[in-house]
Amino acid sequence: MSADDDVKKLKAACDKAYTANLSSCSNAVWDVLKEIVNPREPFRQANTLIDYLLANWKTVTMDEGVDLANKGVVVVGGKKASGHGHVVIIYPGPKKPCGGYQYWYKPAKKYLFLTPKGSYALALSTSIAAHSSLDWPGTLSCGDKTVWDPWGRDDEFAGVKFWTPKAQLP
Amino acid sequence: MPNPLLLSPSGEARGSLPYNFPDDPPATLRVTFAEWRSDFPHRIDLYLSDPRASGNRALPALHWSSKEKKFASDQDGDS
Repeated sequence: MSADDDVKKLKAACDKAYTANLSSCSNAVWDVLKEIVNPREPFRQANTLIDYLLANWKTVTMDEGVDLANKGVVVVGGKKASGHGHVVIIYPGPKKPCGGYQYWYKPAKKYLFLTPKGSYALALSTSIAAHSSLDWPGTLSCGDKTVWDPWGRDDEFAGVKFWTPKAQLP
Repeated sequence: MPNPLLLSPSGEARGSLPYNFPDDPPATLRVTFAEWRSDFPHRIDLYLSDPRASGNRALPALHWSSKEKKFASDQDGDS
């Protein structure tokens, strides 16, 4: 299979996982892992998955992750949190600025604009917290937003790590 | 953007908050003065309501240092 075919397969897996798991990041990532890495991959919640990736996968930088995703290789990003952490997949494609969309700021009862900035990997991201258009839009992405957007703040994104399976490295 | 300063009645900086108060869109910060002794709070509890991936969470409390004359969290490098 060519690299182009691998990229198409990864994109198709991300698109399918996004549609099927809008309210669960760990299920979306799980679907992609089953499709691309291991059909028998067990389900893990985000915090547990991150522990597993730390112990068993290779840590890469975001830029290395972009290069790998553009070869059709799975790269998972994530950060643990009390309760539920969050995990994403790097979606194949060129980096782009984060932000560039409006979000509902409940206390002020109005939409605010998140100014675009920087250059980040594209993301497959879904979220248990995404119930309506009034929730944080950065957590929902099928390649249209970046890996920065779910966390939405530089100091929070600084703690996000990326991993790729050791056996899948080209 | 600079963080909000905690000022004494005489205007001296006694620490700072890690987020803007009360609004740091899309988050909001709740500040609670606690552990009052001699009409002075020795701990400041911080709670962030945040719709982003990190979620709603208690932030590290700020503790008063009588020696340093300022509030700092246990995670601050200089506390």
